[in-house]
Amino acid sequence: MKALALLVLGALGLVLLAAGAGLPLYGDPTAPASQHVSDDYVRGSMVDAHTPNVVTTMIADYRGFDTLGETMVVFSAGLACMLLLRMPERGRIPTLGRPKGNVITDIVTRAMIPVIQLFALYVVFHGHYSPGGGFQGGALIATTVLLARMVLGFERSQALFPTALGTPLGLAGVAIYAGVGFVALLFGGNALDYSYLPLGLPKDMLRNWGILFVEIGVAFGVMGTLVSIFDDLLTGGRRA
Amino acid sequence: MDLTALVTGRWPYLFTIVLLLIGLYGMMVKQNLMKKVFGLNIFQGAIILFFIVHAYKHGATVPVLDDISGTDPARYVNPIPHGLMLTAIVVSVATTGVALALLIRIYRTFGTIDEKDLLVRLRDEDPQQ
Repeated sequence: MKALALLVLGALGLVLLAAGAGLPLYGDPTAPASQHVSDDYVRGSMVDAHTPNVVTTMIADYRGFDTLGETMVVFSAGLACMLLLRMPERGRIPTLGRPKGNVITDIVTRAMIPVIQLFALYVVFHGHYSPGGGFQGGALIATTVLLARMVLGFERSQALFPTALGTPLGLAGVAIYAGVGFVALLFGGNALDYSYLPLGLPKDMLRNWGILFVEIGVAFGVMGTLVSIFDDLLTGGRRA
Repeated sequence: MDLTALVTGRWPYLFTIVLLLIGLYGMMVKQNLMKKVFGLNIFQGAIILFFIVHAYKHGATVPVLDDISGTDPARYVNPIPHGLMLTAIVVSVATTGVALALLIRIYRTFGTIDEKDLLVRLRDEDPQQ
């Protein structure tokens, strides 16, 4: 069995090496993947959406529909965890959610959580001008809740973020994203064409603001869903 | 096969190939389902790094426009793979969560996540039940 697997992997490795020899050179600026549309994104980002971070423009504006799908995939994963694990009876929280408690880790955690959350907000709101955005910021806020769950314990950290809030927050995030797209549709544009948002600004500034709204939606969605998945895994779906 | 062409100008792809094979090995050979999930994650890491290697351009900087480089596309790495992989990482975290939830369900039903034991217990179970 193991020998067979190694044989298959060796054959696959040879195929991949042969295919790899035909790939474009490492760092080649004229590689096919770096032509056409990627160049247009770099040239158009500032003109179209007034956003220096091309990755943000690409994710939330040029390919906003794709990212809406991704956010929904993340939310569906949270729903899948919920459907697989949650059960009606009450039960004991497993050991990972009931730490023994230690003054040093407690205090350090409680001091760090607001700092990390502040940085997460910076990452979300400064995503237009520096690496960052909804996905990263949302994941950062979720990590603070995860940290509290593991260090302070499941029950004590409920005050920071109740388990019951995870899935609704994820849904709210997806709804904000889809809602911004729908408002654009209502006011005569295509779905997710932020230049039709009714804010009375020039077109490039409208798209700039549209990106921000969408990123906030993504941050809510990612944060709520990640916490919801973690809580389901931590408690095994039992109610505390 | 032109191995010199691969080693001279395309060496970063070698690492992604090795990583991909390690992940696939874990998924195929390991009996513990948890280790298979680890293998899946290593596999995903290989794919993500493959895209990121593709995005690199020599002498280019991060795709955040600045005054010095202007809007010359050759001065910035390709933003598209970075954006795609940014979302792929979050999706991979979420799908790993689903995989772990499935493992918890399997353990709850059969009391094991070892593939061999699992097959035995599946066989012993009465299908009519």
